[in-house]
Amino acid sequence: MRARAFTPWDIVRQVLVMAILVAFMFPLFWMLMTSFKSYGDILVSPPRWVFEPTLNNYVDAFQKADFAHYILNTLTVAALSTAIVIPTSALASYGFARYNVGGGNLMFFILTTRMMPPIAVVLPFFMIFKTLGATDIGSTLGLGLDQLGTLVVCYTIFNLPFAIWLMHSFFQDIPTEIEDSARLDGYSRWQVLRKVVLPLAAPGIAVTTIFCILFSWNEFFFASILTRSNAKTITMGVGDFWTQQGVLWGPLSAAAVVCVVPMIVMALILQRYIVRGLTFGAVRG
Amino acid sequence: MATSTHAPELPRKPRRLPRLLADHDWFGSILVAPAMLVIVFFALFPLGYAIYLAGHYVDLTSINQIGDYVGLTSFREALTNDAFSSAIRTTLAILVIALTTEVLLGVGLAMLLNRLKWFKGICRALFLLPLACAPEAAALIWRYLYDSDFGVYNALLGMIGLGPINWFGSSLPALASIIIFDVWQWTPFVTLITLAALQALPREPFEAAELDGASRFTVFRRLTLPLLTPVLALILVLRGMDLARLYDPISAMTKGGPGSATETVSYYLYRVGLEDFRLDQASAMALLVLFVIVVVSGLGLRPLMRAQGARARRG
Amino acid sequence: MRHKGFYRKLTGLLGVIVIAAGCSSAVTPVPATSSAVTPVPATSSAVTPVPATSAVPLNGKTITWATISGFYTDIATSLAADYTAKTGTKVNVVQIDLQSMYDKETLDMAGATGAYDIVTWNLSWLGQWAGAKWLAPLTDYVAKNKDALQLGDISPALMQTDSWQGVQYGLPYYTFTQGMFYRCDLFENATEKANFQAKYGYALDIPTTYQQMADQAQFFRRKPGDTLAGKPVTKDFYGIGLMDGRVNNIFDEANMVAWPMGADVINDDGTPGVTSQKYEDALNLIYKKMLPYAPPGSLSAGYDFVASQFNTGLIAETGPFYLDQWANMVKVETQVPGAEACVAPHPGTGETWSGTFSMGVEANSKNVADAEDFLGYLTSPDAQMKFALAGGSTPRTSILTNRTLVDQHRDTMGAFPTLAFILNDAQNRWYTNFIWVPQAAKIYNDAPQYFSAAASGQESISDAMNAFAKDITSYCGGPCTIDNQGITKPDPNAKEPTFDRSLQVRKP
Repeated sequence: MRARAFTPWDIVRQVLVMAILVAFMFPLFWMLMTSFKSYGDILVSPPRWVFEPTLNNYVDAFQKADFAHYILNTLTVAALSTAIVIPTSALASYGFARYNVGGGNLMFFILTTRMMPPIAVVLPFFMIFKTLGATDIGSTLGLGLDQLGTLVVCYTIFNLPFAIWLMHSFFQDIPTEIEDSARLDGYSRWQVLRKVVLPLAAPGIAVTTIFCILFSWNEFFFASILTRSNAKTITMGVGDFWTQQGVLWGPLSAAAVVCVVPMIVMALILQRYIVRGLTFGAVRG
Repeated sequence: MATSTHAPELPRKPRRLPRLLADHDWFGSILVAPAMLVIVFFALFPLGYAIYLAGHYVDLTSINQIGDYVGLTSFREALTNDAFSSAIRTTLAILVIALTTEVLLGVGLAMLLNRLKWFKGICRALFLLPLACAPEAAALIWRYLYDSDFGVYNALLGMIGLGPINWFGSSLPALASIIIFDVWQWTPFVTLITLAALQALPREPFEAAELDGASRFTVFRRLTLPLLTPVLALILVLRGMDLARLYDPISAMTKGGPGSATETVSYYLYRVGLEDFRLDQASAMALLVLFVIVVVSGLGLRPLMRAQGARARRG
Repeated sequence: MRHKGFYRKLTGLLGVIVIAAGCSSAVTPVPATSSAVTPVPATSSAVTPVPATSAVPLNGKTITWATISGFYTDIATSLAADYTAKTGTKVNVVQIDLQSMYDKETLDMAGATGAYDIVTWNLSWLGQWAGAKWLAPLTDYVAKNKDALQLGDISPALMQTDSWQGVQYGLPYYTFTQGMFYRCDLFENATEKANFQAKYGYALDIPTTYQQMADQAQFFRRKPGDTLAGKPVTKDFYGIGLMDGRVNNIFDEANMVAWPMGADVINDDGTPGVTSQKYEDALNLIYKKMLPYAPPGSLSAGYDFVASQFNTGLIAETGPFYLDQWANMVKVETQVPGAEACVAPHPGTGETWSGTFSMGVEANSKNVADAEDFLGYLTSPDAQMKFALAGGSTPRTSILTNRTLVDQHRDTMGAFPTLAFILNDAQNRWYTNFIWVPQAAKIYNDAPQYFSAAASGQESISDAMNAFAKDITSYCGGPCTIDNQGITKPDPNAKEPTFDRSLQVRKP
């Protein structure tokens, strides 16, 4: 279809897209630059484009703010909550897609749980986890304030509605005929689900997994209210450099780079799947 | 709950089973149950708690903390509260402008990308980056980019003979700075969804239109746009929902200032709830906001939901 | 089918993460807390390495201390480590950034979580916290340990802000009393002095009134092409740096100007004083006569941004400003050739925001005795000396006035003699109704939006102050109560002392 030689319009398009791309990449580029600048190169006017790079900001970020600890916390929370969300939401989503439970109303109800202003959700959670943390079970499971278990539960709850919605279209896309013939071959419904449906929905499950990790990694508000030091996450760690002696832009940029890069790398590697996932299942809906 | 849709099971006829996986099946309810249990508990608990708080006098910094039952007073106060209504106006202004910009820019960009000749994959991939950034971290960095004394944006504007703009110094630039940040982070979302939709469009009508000699604009208006409508509706609802609760960039960049120029509903509620600790007022206002968002997005999503239901039945 | 391979890889990866995380989460509770305690080597070269004292084995007790994140806390953290070595009690330091410190501490105390044994506060929060019975009185502890604590060494101006209704709740460990910073190289430049004299008819010197400060702000504003101290100016140079963003600092700054002009936030009868003519005059002076000569960033600046403006050589002087920032301000001397930072009282000297960050024991603490002991340690002369040597702004007069020591450590202690001078005056002349209002914390948190609206011109000064007054009245539920029992009001006829320049620690 595109066998023809390029036209002037192709060039115009290319230039336009490149220009917009540069504008969109610039803040990230500047963040990366700043993270390698020494103190004297950061707060200068006009801003410096050429400078002697230094790694000190990264050293500071890891020494002063204990980033290794925050990263470990964040990874733990993201992994555990994702491990809970994925099976639960896969079952539910399949239920909604194939059996139309609740006829769409239930799906909408699920979405409404994400519409509450965060402040009205966080305080009840604060109270629940305060109470839970004082019990034996709670403290064994790490379900108190400033405990990792608390964040696992919170992120599970946030990600469930999203995951159900996201997987919905993937399950819908699986032709019913396949399932029907599997039943004819004597498979039980559970077997159909396990041996036929889930493998076919694999890309959808993968996308959802990626998004759950991304959201858990990037979450800030709940972490900032429900944790103090023990369960501090990486997004909170970035804010550590807004300090008594002023904003330390160098270490802050370094911290932001450390915070952002893993997700960017993940997004780039898995971009084809993410683009599909971004559609939230609607494109084919 | 989920089990409200039980229907008597049809007698099984194993060898002819086009309707084996029928609607309203107990099996579906079982599948949905674990997730629904979690969601219902954790959605209804905060909701109930908020209703309870809104009905009492609650000041966490007072000795009694939760005081007398006051009926609907908090709601009445919320409706006559100037700061709340000003926060709503600010939120709406940001929502409308940011959403419009994001959709226009995003769809435009998607059309460009769709017919891009070179480096299409790389370009598409790079547009993902803003989306993957933690909003809080990114907004802190933007605070530095916007800085009137040391920021790079004013330096760039200076190079093309514009500015300098005192970004956080007066209302309009401060609002603009929030909107620009949101546009930066979320336009790619619109672009990538629209791009996926464009690539999934059926070929035949477009080929037919080309044969008929329709102009490009006509094709766009008559064919592309209507086919994109469901996607755009979804984008509007999802982004609208998020923008209505905008908090991270406000807290990281402007703290609602100057004055109250960029104080959004979520930021205002944070101040009432977690600085003043007047949980009664915060809950009442949160409930009002929730009500509006649910109604509006419900209307926006209705066609989509109906389509979902129809698909499920068809399947 | 290629999806399938990808999926398998991904689940594998996820599995590894889960397993790794599962293992780590099983162990985290123990090392996680300790990691916050690890003494972080402060980057400042002035920190003298603390010799490892003979460590006492851990006694299994842990106390948790909530405080501000940043440089000073790094020092405090190393003091905490010393304390652990001495007593065997572990100290878990929770660092919170200043902007959200009130919110986070209050939430935990209101929720009675008992999360913190020791809390840190700004003087205007005390009434609320003491009133809600969130703090444990220190009266007995202080009475028993009089000799070790030597509280007589701390300015009464600071001590009085640690008691509420006659009960002592806190011990001061670091003061942010205000003065001002200026570039003495510019203020003492012969050409500049002559030009200033010619233009304004009086000598260029440390300002004794805010009108003079405004003149200086106007005078030092230079555009590219002008000259400054004989050198051509290549980029905009500003007369003054102001903290006029929507942060708490804007309210402090306004009061620094208003108090010496005879205005107060709350009148003696409990009604709001912010709508008075005097208060509005003060705001007019800042927002109309100084702000136009400040960097545009001032409209979103807190003290941190003004410190950057000063130490990068963008401004000639600050407005009223926190003296604990000396260590940051003096960096201008390394960053701008020929520059020298000097410190002085702001006009009005002791009528200033002479407050401290104080620490007290939370009422819900389960380790009251240990917490008190740690508090006592941090306030003790020994610990305060270590704190001060590393750049901490100590409230102890004996250290502030130890000139030999100060001269040896100009980079960190250079503001100390001036600070002692201001505190001495504050003790005789400083009083405000505002901090004795039980609702002061709420008023304090509410204030920035109105001052920011007035500064940015979003609203007129009188509109903004009327709205603020309305809020004050609604917080107090009518005229505010002023709980100032036991506080002696200063003699209104006491004279402002003349600042003695020999108190400045000049660049060698």
